[in-house]
Amino acid sequence: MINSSYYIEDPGYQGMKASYWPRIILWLLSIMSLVMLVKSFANKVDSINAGSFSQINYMQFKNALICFGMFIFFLTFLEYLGMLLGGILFVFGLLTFLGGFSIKKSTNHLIISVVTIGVMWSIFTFGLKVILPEGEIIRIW
Amino acid sequence: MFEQGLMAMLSVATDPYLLFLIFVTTILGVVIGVLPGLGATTGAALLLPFTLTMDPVHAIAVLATIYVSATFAGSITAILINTPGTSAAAATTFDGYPLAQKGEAGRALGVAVISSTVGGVFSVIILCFAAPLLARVAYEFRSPEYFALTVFGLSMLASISAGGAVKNLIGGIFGVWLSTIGAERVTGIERFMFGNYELYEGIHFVPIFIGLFAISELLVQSKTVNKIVNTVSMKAVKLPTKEDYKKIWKTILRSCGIGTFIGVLPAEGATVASMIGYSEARRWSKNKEEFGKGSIEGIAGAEAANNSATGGAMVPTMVLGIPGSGTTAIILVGLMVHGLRPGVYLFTEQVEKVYQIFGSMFFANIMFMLMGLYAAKFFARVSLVPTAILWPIVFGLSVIGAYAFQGQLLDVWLALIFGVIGFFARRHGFSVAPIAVGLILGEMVETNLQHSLKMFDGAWWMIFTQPLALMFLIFAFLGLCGPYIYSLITKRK
Repeated sequence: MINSSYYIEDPGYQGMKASYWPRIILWLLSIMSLVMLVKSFANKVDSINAGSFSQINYMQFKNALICFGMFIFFLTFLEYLGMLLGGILFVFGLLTFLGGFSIKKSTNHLIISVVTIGVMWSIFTFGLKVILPEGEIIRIW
Repeated sequence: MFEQGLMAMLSVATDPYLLFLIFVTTILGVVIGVLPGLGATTGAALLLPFTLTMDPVHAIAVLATIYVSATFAGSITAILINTPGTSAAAATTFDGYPLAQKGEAGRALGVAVISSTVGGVFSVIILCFAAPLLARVAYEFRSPEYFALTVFGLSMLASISAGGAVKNLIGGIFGVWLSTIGAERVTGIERFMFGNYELYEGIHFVPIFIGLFAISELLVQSKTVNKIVNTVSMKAVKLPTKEDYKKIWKTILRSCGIGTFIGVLPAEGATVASMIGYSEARRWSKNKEEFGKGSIEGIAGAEAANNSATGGAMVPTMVLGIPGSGTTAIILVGLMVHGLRPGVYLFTEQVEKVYQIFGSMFFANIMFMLMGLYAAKFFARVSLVPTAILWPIVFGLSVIGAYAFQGQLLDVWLALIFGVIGFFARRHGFSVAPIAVGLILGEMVETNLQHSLKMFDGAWWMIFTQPLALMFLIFAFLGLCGPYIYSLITKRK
């Protein structure tokens, strides 16, 4: 980013050049990050708890990663599925992935996803008159 | 102006739709406040898209009501399940939960409700008088003063919330950098757009705030899908007795002053106020030994302070455009989206609207008092709602809300990106509020620096010759370096 700030066009404007301010900010950000890095080296680390980079337990991010992956999936297919169907599928899928699978649980998850997304979609569509992505499958208008 | 303002405040009582909105939003605010993880800031971020189609006064009234009622409601779960619904209620757990464990949950809640209401109403009264006075002072401000003031606001980010000074400053500076994306305001030169012309107008606040506050919360809570919470049993909320009032009235008054003052300071908020309110209550108490074991003075000190900070924080937000916290940053965005530019203009040209907003805050305080006294038991049960139900609601509001703002899919992607940034920031001990405040102040600080340089023909050092600007810059320096200088001096001694 610092490098790209040197490519910001400057047409010889009389006041402060457009590139100066972001450059100051980026240098400040770098200095503060360096301070934090030095501080983290200065702090004593518990040798038992400190793991190497390769030992970082990625499982602690499992749920967040699933959530993030599903989010990308949802956004990618939003224009095809539409906000209503896509939202219901996303919530149902996510709750099933994270909350566990059984017939009783899945039924509950389906009801929760249909009701919550349905209500919110209705509020925005009919109450606030916001046109949400309709999708290719269900056509309302 | 005061008479006109008073009439406008009273007009809230004759507007049934506005009263209905305040009533519904107070319920929502209390529900949001009792749900651990969903504080006033997340609630305001989620409701912001709903307010876009509303009348400006109604929209800001909704956001301000969420702020006031959620700040109070954090105390319900702090007392009953030892989990503060909002960070501002953290100090309430110190004595609220021990008192509840002794079988006096109703008494603890009664003290919290009364203290919060007194604190909230006190700060609204101060807001009504202090804001126009400060606006009159701000009338004299020109670009160098505004530049120095925003630098002061940025320096105060060092102490905005938990996370440590360096981390908060990094967050704030990152927010300032985000504000430079897009066309530069004065010359229109493109910066950091990398060929994406959708970014020409810059990144808008709404999707960023939804991502930072709501989606990041969704990701953080992804670990707690099947979490079960235990609540302390409670019969009914009890109003404080005459003896209780005798014991706490001084504490409440002191905390009202502390909370309002702390709230007025740029970038300080209800959490800092409640901690100071609590520690001062302890310092001046005759029964210090009761603190930590269920002291009603401790509850009153923390609760009166955090609710009085809400009105205080609205002062710099509305008069100077400098938000006092994450929630007031969202309220500020609400003001801007509805064309209400914070500052002197607001207090000279839009007096009625401003006082109707203040009036709405007053009524919100009264409504949450009634709900706290008569429905706390019900609201406490809301905190037991499984995350499985809470999630889809947060998700739906986040995605639909981000899209509804401009009808652009890019905004939803941005919300997701900032949700991930917020998630990792929180995981590593950063607070996301400084990013939001930095984003808002970033544009102000650059524009005012540009104008100042134009004023002085590029002689930047002339900014230091302006007395008010110099004063704010000295405050900023002291705010940043004061604690280090102080510790160096004390070490030498």
